[in-house]
Amino acid sequence: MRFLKRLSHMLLVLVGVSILMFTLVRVIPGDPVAAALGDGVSREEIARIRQQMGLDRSIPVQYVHYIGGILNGHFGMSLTEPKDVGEIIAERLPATLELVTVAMLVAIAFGVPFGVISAVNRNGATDHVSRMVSLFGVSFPQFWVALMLQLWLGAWLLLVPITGRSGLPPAEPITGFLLLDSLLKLDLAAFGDALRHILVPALVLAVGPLANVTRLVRASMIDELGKPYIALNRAVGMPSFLINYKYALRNASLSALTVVGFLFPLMLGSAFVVEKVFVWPGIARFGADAIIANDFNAVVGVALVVCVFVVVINFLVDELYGWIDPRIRLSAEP
Amino acid sequence: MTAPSDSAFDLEVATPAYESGLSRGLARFRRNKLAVVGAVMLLLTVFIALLAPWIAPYPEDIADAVHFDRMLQPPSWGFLMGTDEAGRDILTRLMYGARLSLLTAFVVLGISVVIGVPIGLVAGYYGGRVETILMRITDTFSSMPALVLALAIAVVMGADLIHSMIAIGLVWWRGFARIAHGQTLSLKQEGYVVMARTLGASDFHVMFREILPNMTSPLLVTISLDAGFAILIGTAISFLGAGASPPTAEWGLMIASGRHYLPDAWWPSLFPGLAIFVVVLSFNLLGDGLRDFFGDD
Amino acid sequence: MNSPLVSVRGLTVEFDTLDGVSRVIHGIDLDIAEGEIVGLVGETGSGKSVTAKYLLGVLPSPPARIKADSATMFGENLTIMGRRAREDLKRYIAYVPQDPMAALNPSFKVGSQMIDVIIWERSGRRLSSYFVMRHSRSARRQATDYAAHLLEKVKINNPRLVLDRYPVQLSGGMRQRVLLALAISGSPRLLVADEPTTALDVTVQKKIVEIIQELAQQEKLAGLYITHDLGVARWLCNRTYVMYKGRVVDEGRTTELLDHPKHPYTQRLVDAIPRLSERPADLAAVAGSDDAVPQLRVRDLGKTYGEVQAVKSVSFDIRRGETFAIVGESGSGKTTLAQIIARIIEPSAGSISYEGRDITHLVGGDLRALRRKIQIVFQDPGSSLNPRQTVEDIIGLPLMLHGMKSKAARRARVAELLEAVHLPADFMKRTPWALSGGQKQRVSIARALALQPEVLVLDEPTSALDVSVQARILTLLKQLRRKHNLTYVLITHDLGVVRALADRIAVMYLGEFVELGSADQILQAPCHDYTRSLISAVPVVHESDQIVFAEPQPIESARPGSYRVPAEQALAMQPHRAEHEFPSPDAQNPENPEEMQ
Repeated sequence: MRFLKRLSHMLLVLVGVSILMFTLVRVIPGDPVAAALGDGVSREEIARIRQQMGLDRSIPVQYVHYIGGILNGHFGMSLTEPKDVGEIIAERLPATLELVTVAMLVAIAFGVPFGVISAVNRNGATDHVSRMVSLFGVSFPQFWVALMLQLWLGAWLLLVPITGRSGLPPAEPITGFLLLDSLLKLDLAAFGDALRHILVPALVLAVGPLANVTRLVRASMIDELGKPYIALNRAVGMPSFLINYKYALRNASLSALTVVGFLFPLMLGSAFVVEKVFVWPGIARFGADAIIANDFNAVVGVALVVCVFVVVINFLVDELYGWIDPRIRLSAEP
Repeated sequence: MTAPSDSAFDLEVATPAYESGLSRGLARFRRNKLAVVGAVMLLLTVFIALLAPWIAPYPEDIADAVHFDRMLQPPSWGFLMGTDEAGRDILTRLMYGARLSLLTAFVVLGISVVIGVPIGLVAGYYGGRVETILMRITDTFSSMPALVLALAIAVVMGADLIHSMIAIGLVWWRGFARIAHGQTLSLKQEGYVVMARTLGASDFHVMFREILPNMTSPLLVTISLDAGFAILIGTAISFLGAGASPPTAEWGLMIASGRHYLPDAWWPSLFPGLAIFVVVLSFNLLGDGLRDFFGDD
Repeated sequence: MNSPLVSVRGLTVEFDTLDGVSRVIHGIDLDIAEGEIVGLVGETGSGKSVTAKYLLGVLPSPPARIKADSATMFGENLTIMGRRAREDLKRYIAYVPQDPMAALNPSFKVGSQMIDVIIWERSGRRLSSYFVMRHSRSARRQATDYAAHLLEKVKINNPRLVLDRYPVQLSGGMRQRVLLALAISGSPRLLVADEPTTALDVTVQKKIVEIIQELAQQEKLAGLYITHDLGVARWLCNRTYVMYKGRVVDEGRTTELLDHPKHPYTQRLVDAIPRLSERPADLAAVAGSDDAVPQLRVRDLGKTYGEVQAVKSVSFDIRRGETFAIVGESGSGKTTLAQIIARIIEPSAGSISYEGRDITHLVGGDLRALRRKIQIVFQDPGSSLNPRQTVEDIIGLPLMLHGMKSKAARRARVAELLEAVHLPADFMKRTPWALSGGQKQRVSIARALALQPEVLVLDEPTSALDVSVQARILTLLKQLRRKHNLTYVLITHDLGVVRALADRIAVMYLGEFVELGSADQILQAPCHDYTRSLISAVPVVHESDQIVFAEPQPIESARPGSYRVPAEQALAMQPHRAEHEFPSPDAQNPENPEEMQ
């Protein structure tokens, strides 16, 4: 019952997002066609294209067409490539997903332990160092870090390739994820190549979120450790190790879960700059290039896809949250 | 010394250690060293930004000057941070860039707070239909990564520095709406709010004179931390080409222009990035310090 | 006398806080002998909790700095003890904390938490053996059986059911019993209880203290019992220490200490508690005016929230100038009733009239006009005052809202009101942060008097305050009542407050009145079993207060215009009973409503 309610909530939000995007694409620019085609195009030509794109109908009808198109994968024609934006997005999506997933894993795999250690050794040397490091981590502009690492590791030290996703000729995709595909085919050379290419971009993407995860886990563990039931367990003589890792972490992992929820949109945003700098063939770079070219359909199409992902992930995180925390589960019972 | 006590011996005329909350607050603040460092760094930045026209070494370089004789010079005593592809002194342009970044923080936060806080306040206070609608709208905006949506809006409005600032503001209000909403929900149960309502105070009075003043602490913390984010996003938008356009001395744009001359000329890309880092760090230090400070209250 | 189990001399504790170094305990001495329960009594800020934490070994050592001339526990020297040894000592100490909800991890079932502690103790407190046992099925089963056995010792009837529940599904009394069971699980020698019953209803408290007494006898425990309630100390503790601002100011055999206190502070504490058996001298013999129409008339009042009936059907009259008390425990509906009378919320059924006029559904301007007549003072002084406003603004708010536009006029009136509650005029500039609990409550009262009301609804006016402060506030309330001929509607669970102030008392249980009568009659000769159980559950402080109920008197002929529940009817209105126990209204056991609290 609650599930249905939240599902309908999610759908409502998606509708809201689509309306917003539609507004950006159709309503605001006035005459996007004229703006995109620039000067020197005749009136008749503009009118013809407008009719072709369906821009002469009323707004609600246009919206319905828009939604219909979206659900069929048609996001409108791109002005930079002779294809529908939807097709382009489908081609490039796996690259972005792979990058973001790897970055997410790095951020959590390192961030959570750092946060826990930091909380447990509160105010100790490790804690201070870790706090400073994470404070620094969230203060760097990611596009700049990307550039500097590209410069230092790629150009000067020649340790990693500077750009792109793979140095080898393209192979038949199974999942579209190069790392997985090469493992599945037991092609270690390809795996190594894909890994070397994804390493630095993923690292850059993970820096800010890693710092955030550390801070959040630290803060919520400290919060949890201050609670009276911890004092009770201490009074009984339970060792700190047990208390920290069993009880406090369980309750604190809930906030770690919400971290995933808000990490995801953050990363998808940063992907725009990271993909641009590393010339990563994903949807974010496509979007970034489309910006300069004033390709509205493309920019908004990418934005829409990104937002949909975020909404769905948030929904899943909320579901998981309720399942883990018995208080929420029990209080919902009739 | 903690709050005054009622013991049977005292004549119940309490004498707190500090006369007002303010002086006590300042004393506490001074003990948090990191926050002080952040505050000092920030003041320094503001100082530099305000006095840029007078202290910058080559004030003519802020716009579209071109000096063919000194393009892409590495850092030297004459040009402490080197020159860019048009021969302009980078240090000078950095100082002017500080103005733009601080302006970004100001505009973005101004718009977000003015839109977001009242929305959250009204939603939390009235509840019911109003709350549902307002919070759904907030949710919609929350689901979109700030950078992505701001980019989309900026592109649609036409790529321009001011447009990008406004675009970020139009996206960023959602965080404040959330905070204001949550705070209002818990504050409206407080005795003094109920009292004010039963005494017949108008809704406006209750919202803005009773509830709002009590949520300034979390708001201030958020404002300080978000200022850093605003600058990060603002410079990123300019880097991507949807914000400031040449020859503006904006830090993100400087990095983008400098990018073409890597790896040989590393200084046009390095120094603006460091500047961004320093300013954002100072906001974060300040914000963290404020959070620790208020958290104990 | 046995050599003491615990002996401390010259204990000093300091803390590093953001505002500087603060000394919390100033060189105290403490002894606990085998088999005796020692009470530690004090108000807020006395240092009693810190002392307990020291004995438990849970004072975090920065930021606390601890020094003692000598300290021995179970024969071992605490001052030179290493951390490992100190942790080992904990196996002999049992701890019962104040807030049972916060002390149990909400994310784990009760059984799981109990098993953890039991296995930890059984594994000899070694990590490696703990992990092994924790995963062994037979060890877990044994531990579960033992846990069930412990729960039976604390009089829980269906232990297996309780083990399977999450803490949030149990009532306060149940949770406290679980904690008690955990406390005795390791065969401890010392029990440290930190205000274990403060958050519980009086009838629940009685049960818990009885269980503690029994357990202490059965398991041969010594105990340190921290409380601010002198009555409980008298009941349970052989000897008691009185603490004030980090020092021990008095000690001795509890009965001796309370009947003949040596230190003036102890005397003040004792004096502050009203004697239930005596009628206060300043209570008028016959209270209230004789008007034809009662000032407040309530008929068949009810309030339902969804499926829950907070108030079922309540009827009574209040005469001008009298103090009408509504007494009940948590869940009785008394706070809801208070809010309805003060017209903060509207009733779902029934009617209220004030001076003959029906005010049940007033809105708008009429409601505002009513506000001038009926005002309310809330329980929690911390939350009733806006932390961001000055006292002047706070008290001035009602004045401003009701037409006093001139700031100077308001200021003058605020000064008057501050004087009326015995606060200096320069308090106007202060913010609530700079006020003590008692001072905040006075400001609340001053605010309530601003519009010169005729009826004051007092919702637990002293419950959040220390004992000695309560007495002063009560005195103030009596003064104000006399001076302005106020009618009080007093809501409380505290019988001492009722004795001090009330003319008539209504006893409320599960949304209805089970008994209504004069204060003397209710307190000395109650009819209804619930009332009797309530009164007999209050632990006695003064020796003269041993309650002996007189036979219920036949109700005197009703005064014209008043309405009372006749004794027979009161006796007939009895909710279901289980072994003479009344389930506390906040029980949350859907499976078994007969569960004792």
